[in-house]
Amino acid sequence: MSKKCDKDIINELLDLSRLNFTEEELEKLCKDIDEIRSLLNQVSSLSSLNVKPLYNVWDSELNPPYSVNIEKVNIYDLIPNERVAQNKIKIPWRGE
Amino acid sequence: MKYKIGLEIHTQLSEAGTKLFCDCDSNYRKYEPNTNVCPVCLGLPGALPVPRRNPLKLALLVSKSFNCEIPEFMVFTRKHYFYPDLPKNYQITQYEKAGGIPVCLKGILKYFDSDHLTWKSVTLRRMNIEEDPGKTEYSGGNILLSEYAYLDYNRSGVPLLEVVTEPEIPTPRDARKAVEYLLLTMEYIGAINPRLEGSFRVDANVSVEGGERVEVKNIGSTLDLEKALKYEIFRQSKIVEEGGKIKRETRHWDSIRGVTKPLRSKETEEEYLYFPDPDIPSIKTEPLLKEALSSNFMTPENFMNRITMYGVSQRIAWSLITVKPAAELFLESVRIGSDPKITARILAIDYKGLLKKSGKNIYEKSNWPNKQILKLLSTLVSNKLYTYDELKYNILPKLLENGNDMNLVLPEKVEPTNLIISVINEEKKAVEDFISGKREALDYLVGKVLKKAKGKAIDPKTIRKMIEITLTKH
Amino acid sequence: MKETAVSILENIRKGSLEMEDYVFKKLELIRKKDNIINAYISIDSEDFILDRINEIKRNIASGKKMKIPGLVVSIKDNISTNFLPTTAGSKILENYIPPYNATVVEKILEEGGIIIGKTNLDEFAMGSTTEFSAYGLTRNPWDITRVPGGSSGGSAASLAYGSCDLSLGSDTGGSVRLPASYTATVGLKPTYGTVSRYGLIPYANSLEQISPMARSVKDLALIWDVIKGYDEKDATSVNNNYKSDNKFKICIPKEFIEESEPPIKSTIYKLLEKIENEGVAIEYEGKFENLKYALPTYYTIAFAEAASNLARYDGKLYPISSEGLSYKEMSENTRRYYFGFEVKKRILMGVLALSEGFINDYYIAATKGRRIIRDEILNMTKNCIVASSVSPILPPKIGERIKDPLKLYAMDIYTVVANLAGVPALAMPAGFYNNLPIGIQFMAGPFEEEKLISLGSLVEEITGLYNLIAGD
Ligand SMILES: [Zn+2]
Repeated sequence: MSKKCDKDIINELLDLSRLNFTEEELEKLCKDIDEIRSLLNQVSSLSSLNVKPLYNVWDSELNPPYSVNIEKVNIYDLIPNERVAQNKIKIPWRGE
Repeated sequence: MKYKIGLEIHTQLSEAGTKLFCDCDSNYRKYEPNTNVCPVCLGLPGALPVPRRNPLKLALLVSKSFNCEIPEFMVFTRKHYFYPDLPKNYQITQYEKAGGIPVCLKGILKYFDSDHLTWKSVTLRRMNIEEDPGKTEYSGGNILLSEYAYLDYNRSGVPLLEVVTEPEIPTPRDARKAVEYLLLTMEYIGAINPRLEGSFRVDANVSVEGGERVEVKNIGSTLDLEKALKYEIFRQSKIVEEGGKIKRETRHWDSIRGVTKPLRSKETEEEYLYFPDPDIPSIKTEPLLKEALSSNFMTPENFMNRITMYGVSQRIAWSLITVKPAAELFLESVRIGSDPKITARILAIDYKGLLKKSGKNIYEKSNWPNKQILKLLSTLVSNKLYTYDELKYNILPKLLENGNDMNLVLPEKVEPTNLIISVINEEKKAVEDFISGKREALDYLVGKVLKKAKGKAIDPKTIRKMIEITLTKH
Repeated sequence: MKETAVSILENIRKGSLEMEDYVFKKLELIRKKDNIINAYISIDSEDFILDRINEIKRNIASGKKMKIPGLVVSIKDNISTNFLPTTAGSKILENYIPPYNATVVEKILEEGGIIIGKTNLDEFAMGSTTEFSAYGLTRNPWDITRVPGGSSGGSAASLAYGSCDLSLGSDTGGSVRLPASYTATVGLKPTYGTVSRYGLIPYANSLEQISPMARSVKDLALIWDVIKGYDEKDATSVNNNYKSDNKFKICIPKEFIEESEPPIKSTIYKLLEKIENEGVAIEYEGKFENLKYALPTYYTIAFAEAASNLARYDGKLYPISSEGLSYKEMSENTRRYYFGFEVKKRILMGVLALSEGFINDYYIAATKGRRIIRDEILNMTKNCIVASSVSPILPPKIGERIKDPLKLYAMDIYTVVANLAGVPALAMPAGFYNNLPIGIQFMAGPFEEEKLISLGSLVEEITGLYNLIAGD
């Protein structure tokens, strides 16, 4: 795994996460990411470990409840008027 | 030219009652926009998905019906992409390669080919349960140029069952029959109303020999599926015959123009960042399935076996089965003593025809007569009080008019001889025409006799025969 | 004798303490001190509080049994309330008033608690110092040049200067225990699944629990009793019987103390000696083999889950939305300008950990690491309560730790283990060094909260360090 900040990877990550940084931030980001990766790389040796991944800490099995009471909400309390048209939520689009 | 067809059928569990992870209504169509929503299906911060029993049970019943390998546990995963219709910007699904486990791993979709009256089958690769996104409209319907997307989240979170077949379906017609049978089965289970707008959509992949796989997305009806596949096979075959190459692509079916069109293709490997949803532990399938199986349910195949057991032909039986209330009514009334063949004929052909002609919904149980009336009618015919045609022309239309009225007045029988003689005396011209060989004249004469009978029970076939005999004697 | 939540409750029940007077004194204190400490992001209006008091009085009059009538509770601002904004310390949720209450909030209201305000935190609980809040940093009431720890630093500070009786934080990797140890308060990270997460704005779902805080273990027991329990709205919620027995044995894996700063080490060893003198068996020979994997395992999982949880903040459904001609532009602008740097960095790392080329080496590897760590801890806590430092360092100066991510993350080394293993852990005062609080951590087996509370009560009797209010 490369140690130096890999611009291609960063750009792909930015794209996937819909994030952006200023030039100044990017510099700090690169430095931080390299450092953090050096920490995370310490788990990579466990990838070949022959144990089952642990996703739920108790390996729980869910028997879905027979009833759950979640009440409906009024979406218009959350959305400013100018973002509503004929009861639908207006979201900028133009094809992407 | 050889080709292969595989299908991905997205079916909505519209009859589940609740959404997949909240208590909002699975049948969202009856609501004003954005009123069938809660913190969970809007993905509000801090709201948590809790799988609801009914959607899971229905999905398990579908899996069971197609002989699926049902895993011990189901595991939900998150699939990430940014889109206005996806409140959380991830969809909860059951993707196998990221620790997910779907509801069905491998099964067999056995379907009835009603053209050839035979059972066929296609292998199912898997079925998985997932959330439907919200519904988007674009101004002017233009998905590329619309300044805004207009979102209605009523559909967000409605349970979907995605059914994936192996690419081994022999013809476009078979693809259609297989999907129709899948939907019918799901309707019998009580999972879907396939006649609801948008309750299912199909992505089909086709490859002709020597070409790569082409996917046709978003086909909204089984008729369109057959057409789209025919078109695509024709298009691809032609390119190959002319020495061209088929490259891997995704196309879209334009049902108005009847052609497939290339979609803006992002053919780079998509990155969805799948991983198991940490909010939902694994779900044991056995107790849910047990609970689901405890309510009686029958597949169309079960119905076919039962109905044909009574000596009804496969063709008529199928005609009953495609209309669930008719098939159920058949079994109910036979159980209390109706004559099977007569009952089948009434339900599958003549009463169904009358309902259709009058514009009534044949899928609505209340539009059908009840089982006692059916028993009475079939007994009248089997005991030769009336001929079947008398029933068909005189009684069934009245039944339709009067609905489920047990006091249905049976028409008085009339002696037809006098009526025939008087018509022959009045219609000299028609009689001459008939004698000189014009067969249409006979129809005219039969019509005149029926008119004179004024709705009393009379059998047109008998009348026809009687007039023929009378006139040939001349 | 200082007021404790327990004694106040008694006085309220006897009618010797007037609720209005009591709560308005707290409000007064907040007005006086919070402009410096900045423990709160939002505070109730007087009218709202009066209405609430009247409601509680009516309930008392009608004979309703309540567990904490009239006690003043502060709540971390990542726990949803439908009467106060819930920002999670982020600009992206500025002015967001949830249309529903978290389950724990419903329970506190049901039992007569007065929720006075929402406390500051690192943005989306991502931090260990409460310096990463979009609403300004929180200062440590014991020394305002120092941090209160994080991410529940607002809750800890609100208790430490006496503005409330009880508080709720959330603990993903030490987020209530670290602040407790830096502010001489008490924090309990419960067994995973014992407190409903419904309404908690998630950072890392598989690790975190809403966690009670107080100024003494006995007070903490009051609010723990209110918030615990199965909730069908949270599929990870568990229905379980709590084990309680008062026979303790304490084990000390050296790795859990040795790397701490000398004053911390000596304070803890001294305290342990005193505990031993009270007849509690202590075994000093414990070992924790997999400690070296704890931090990378924890951060990998936390980043991955965070990246996923925070995908939804794109401006389409919440009050903040940046301009943009297209959805892509709007979502990019919203996320760019309304997330802080630390949050963006963690999202990016999470996306990396989950992406096709890296998932095996990062996310999957970490979930395997988690299993071996969990198994080792379950084994360790089977027969004894594990004692350790809470933090390897004394409360740092403001700005001291946040420049270097690894230095920041290293503060969590002793606390993340309980989250990875799902077990309960209690942080409480062990002593002071140069007027700076030092905490001790006790970690028990699953569902042994009662045992921790018994031990903690004993320890606070020994030290006398409870109900401490900074500046008193
Ligand atoms: Zn909902």
